[in-house]
Parts: sequence; C-alpha cells; structure tokens
Amino acid sequence: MSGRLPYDPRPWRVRRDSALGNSSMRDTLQRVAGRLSKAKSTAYGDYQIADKWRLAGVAAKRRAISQIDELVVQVIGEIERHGGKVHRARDAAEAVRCVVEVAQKNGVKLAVKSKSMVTEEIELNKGLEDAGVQVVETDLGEYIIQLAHEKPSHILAPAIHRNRGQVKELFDVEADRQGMAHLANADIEQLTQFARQQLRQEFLSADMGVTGGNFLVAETGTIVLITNEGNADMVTSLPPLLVSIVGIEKIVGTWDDLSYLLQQPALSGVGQRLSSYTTFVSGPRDESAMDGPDQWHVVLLDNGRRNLVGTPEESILSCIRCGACLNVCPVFRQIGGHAYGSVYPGPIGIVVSANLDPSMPSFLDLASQACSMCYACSEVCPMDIPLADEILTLRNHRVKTMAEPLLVRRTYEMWGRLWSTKAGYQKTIRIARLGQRFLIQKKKLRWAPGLFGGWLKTRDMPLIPPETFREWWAKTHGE
Amino acid sequence: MGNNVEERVAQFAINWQRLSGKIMRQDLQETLGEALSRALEVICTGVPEPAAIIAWEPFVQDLARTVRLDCQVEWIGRRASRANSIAAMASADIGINVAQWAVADTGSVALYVTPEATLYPSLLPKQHLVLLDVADIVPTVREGLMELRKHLPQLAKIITGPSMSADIEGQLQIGVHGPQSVMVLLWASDRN
Ligand code: SF4
Repeated sequence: MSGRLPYDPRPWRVRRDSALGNSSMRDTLQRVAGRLSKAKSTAYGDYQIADKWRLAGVAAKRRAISQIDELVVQVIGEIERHGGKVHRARDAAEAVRCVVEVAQKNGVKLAVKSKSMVTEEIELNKGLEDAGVQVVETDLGEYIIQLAHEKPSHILAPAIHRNRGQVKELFDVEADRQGMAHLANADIEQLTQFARQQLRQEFLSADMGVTGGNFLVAETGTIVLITNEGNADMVTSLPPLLVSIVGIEKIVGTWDDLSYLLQQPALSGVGQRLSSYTTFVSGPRDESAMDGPDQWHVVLLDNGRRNLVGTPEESILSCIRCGACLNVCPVFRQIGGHAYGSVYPGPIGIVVSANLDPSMPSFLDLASQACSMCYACSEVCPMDIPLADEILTLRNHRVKTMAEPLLVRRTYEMWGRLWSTKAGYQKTIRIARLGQRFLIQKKKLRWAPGLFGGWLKTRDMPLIPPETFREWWAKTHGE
Repeated sequence: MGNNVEERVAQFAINWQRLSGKIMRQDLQETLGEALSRALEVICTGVPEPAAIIAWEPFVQDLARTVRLDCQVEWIGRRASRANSIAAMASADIGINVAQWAVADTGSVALYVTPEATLYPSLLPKQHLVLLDVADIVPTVREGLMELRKHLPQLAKIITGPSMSADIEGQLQIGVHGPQSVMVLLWASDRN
C-alpha cells in the first residue's frame, strides 16, 4: 500500500519565487549549510573509527530493511514485554486516529512534543487539535514555526527561514496573549530564554508527551532519541503518558547494530561526535523510579514504506535524517525547504516524497525542478544512498509516464535527435547563429522567446561566434 | 591499567572541555567531600544565595553531609510525593548526579534512572554537576553501550555537553531547556 503525504498546493513557480525572494533566509541558509557541511568533513576527518563504524552501520540498516517483517514482530514483543503498548498504523490517517484515541481515553488536554519529522508527515498536530487537544512544540525552532503557523524548512533547523526580528514579533504576540511585557530587543539569547520560560510551564503541566524516534532496536525494544536542547528529555520523563511515533524503517536489528549507528546522525548532521542528549526509552516508569511515563505507547507507521522493501528503491529507507544531503545541495541552499512543497525537503525529500506517495504529481516533478544532477548528495550521504541516481530514476519515470507537458517533451526529443549526430549539431549551430541576430543586446544574448527564455532570465549567454572552431579547422586544415 | 586510565582521563577532559564543559579533579590529599565543596564553591558564584542544590542519590546525600561551603545552600532531596519532589527539583539551581560511565573519545557521561537515581538533576536546574569515577571512563561509545545493554533501565541518557540550539539564525545558544553549564568532578574510588 502506498502512503499519503501532505503537500503544498501552490504551483512550483510560486513556491520557488517566494523562496528566492526571502533574502534573509537565503543568507542564513548559505551560512549555516556551509558551516555544517564543513563541520561534517572535519568531524570524520580527524576521527578514524567513525568511517569504519559508518560502513558497519550502513550494512546494519540494509539488513534491517530486508528483514523488516520479522523485526517488526520482534520489536512489538520486546516493547510489550517491558510494559509498553504497540499500535500498528498502515497509513497517516490510522496513526493519527490511534494517537487521538489514546489521548481521549486518558482525558488529555495538553500535549508537549519533541521534534519529529514523522509527526509532520502524518499532520498529527492538526488531528489532535481537531480533537480538542492543545499541542505545544517544544524544540525551539518548532516552537517558532508553530507560532507562525508554518512548516519546518530544514529537517534539523526548522525555523532557519526566519530572522531574529521576525522571531521577536511572534514572541511579542505570545507575550500579549499572556499579558506579559514584550522583550526589550531581538537579542537571540533573550529570545531563547523567553522560550525556555514559556515552555517550562508546559512541560510541568502536560498530560501527554509525543516523540518520534531516531532508532528503534528490535532486540531490546528501545527507542533512541538524539537531540541538543533537552526538550526530548522533558517530554520523555515528565508527562504521565508518552506516545512515540516511529516509521518502521527506523528499526535496527540488534544493540550491536545501534552501537555503530548511534554517532552517525550527529557526525553527519552537525559535525559533532554525539549530540548533547542521547535518550534511551525502554519502557514505562517503574513504580520505584521517579522519571518516566506511567503509560508508554508506540505507534509503528508504514505509510508507503513497506511497499518499497524489495524494490530497487529500498535503500532510501536507510536514511537517518542527518540533513547532510540538504546542506550540500546547491538547489536547497538557494530555495530552502518550503519550496519543495513536501514535509521532506532536499535531495532525500525528493526521493522519499515521490516514492512514499506516488499519487502526488508535484512530488515527482521535483526530480526535474529541484535538482542540478551535481551528485553532491550521493557523495555526502553517510548511509550510501545513491540519491542522485534515485532522482534520475524518477526523471526517467516522468518521461515514461509522459508527465512532462507535450511542448517540453517534443523540444527535448528534437534536441536529443539533432545533437546525437555531428551534422545535426552543426545544423543547430548555424540555425542559432542566424536566430540570435534578432536577439542580440549589447553584444550578448540576454533574452529568448518561449521555452528558452527561462535560461536567460538570470544569466546572459555569450554569442555564437561568426566562425566556430570546427569551421575554422575545416577551412584551414580540411575536414 | 594505571597508565591507560590516565590516557582516558586526558582524552575525556579534552573532549568534554571542547563542548564547553567544565572539569575539576579531586586532589590526592583531599577527601571527595572536600573536592565536592571546592566544585560547588565555583558553581555557586553564578547563583543567588541560598543556592538550592539537588542531592538525591544516597551516595550524593552522604557526601553532602560532609560538604563545607562559604555560600549559603539549601539541599533538596526526596519529598513526600513524586509531584512534590519534581516541583522542588524544578526550582533548584544546581543538580548533582553520579555518572554510570563516561566515554573518552566523545566526552560524554551516561546516567540511568534507577530506584535510587533520577535524571531530573541533569535536566531541570541551570547548573549540572556530575561525579565521575575515573575507573568508569571507557574508550568509545561502543563499550559504554555494551554496559548499558547489561542493565537496560527504562530510561537512560548520554550527555555530551550543555543544552544548546542554533535554531535562530544559526547562532549557537547554550541553556535552552536543560543546563547552561555542565561540570564534571573526577575522582578515584578504591577500584582504581
Ligand atoms: S539521505 Fe543520507 S545525507 Fe540525506 S538525510 Fe538521509 S542519511 Fe542524511
């Protein structure tokens, strides 16, 4: 069964242009993505075992995918043996329904959440709010975008598209709502402390905590959460009820497998050997202990994942969501996450969105729109996912299913035919030389009609010279 | 083993400090209680008096009795109910935990929830102090995880630096939800 993912209904042009017009986002993104990419190469560079363990981790993830059905059975057994309750959800709607039911049965009014992409995928907040449950995002970036009613624009730094002034405006509205004084200025430290104070109260009074999971270990039934702020530790230890929603592809077979993988998200994502907090949840609170929930529910989500097992695309299920492919992608660095129109942006976003939810043409289109085929993503992926090849496969699929507009298809067909022979190539040069006469402005090609116009919108082309090298050679040396 | 331990200590110290963690070490001629007093004296300089300090684990409570400080402190321990205990810990300034183990090559310390130990001291106050026996430093995360696998408490965590975020304009901020400042006090038990 294929999955369903939320999508932005605005057309690509609109999404793209609105991103390109956000200069503060582009500045921050350039700086942060560049810094993270550099930190990643240094981190592996001076840490010898890291790459050996990475390869063992890749093997472990691939193995887990091939054994997914058995591992699901095993992990359910382990979690329930420790007193947790597992729910299986075939798609997003089922997962939401399940969480809402748990919340309602326990009279939940306030839920606190730590950052989780899978809950964005299933649009959990909307589902809970519709059922009368207030949901508070507690990751600083997620808190900001929740106040702004937006979606994350980077899988690690969800509010990267907003600058401090814009964050202050949001916090001022929140202060007004609570009859508090505004912050004196948009100092980042003050903004952070404002969020700390606000959210502290929510943690202490919440009825339910919601998390995702970076890894789920079948052998022990343990969910591993990797975070930097400490909010996931609040969410897993304070509220009386904890719900963890995890895609089935997060399952790894053994504890030993986990030990190779554990450091990879931080190494590849932010260039650290470990993030500030690595949290292990293996069961609800023991009577004799202080920390942890009385009830622990785990929702195992399929939503199109199982469908990919055994297909040539199955390696994309190994993704550990480190964000390295986003940070290195020249397209992502310019347009940020929102322009993709999917909750999963960047190179991995293109392949995951289109493969999990093939019913959405706008996801498939991204393969052509938001990729320059530079292969930087494939090179940088710690899980050795052939991202660019996967994007190419999607492009092929687009052509085969005639998803391109007729005019585009015919143009490329003709172009392909002409340039596959020497004579054809020379013919196009002669035609272009004649044609450009009407278009020359200040000795350069600055615009062109129709389809070709887009090329020249942001760049000028040098002219085709009166005599090409080939023509000169033929004239002076013979054919 | 002696030399080996010192190598791990040195490596741990480098990595822990690289993440802005502070570190102190028990002197040969001082007791652990005296070393703890010295560490708390440093931490207390940034905290209004009386400093509320969580001493929860029996080991820490015993030590606390021997602590002598110039600044005024109020010790926070177990209360009548779980809710009261959490409320008291939530308003504390300093939390103390005993590390289960630590990792030399990442600069991390691990804590477990047990009937005697809670993770709240590492999470709710702005200042966190970890007591680490140098014999518990393992070379890599893998050895630490094998140790965790043996016990597998319901809740455990590995701490690698202070609570932080770069969510606003990519600028690093310390002390988002958890502690702003983390300190390790190294000591050597009889096991060494
Ligand atoms: S595809 Fe690879 S690089 Fe991209 S987020 Fe996933 S693991 Fe990281």
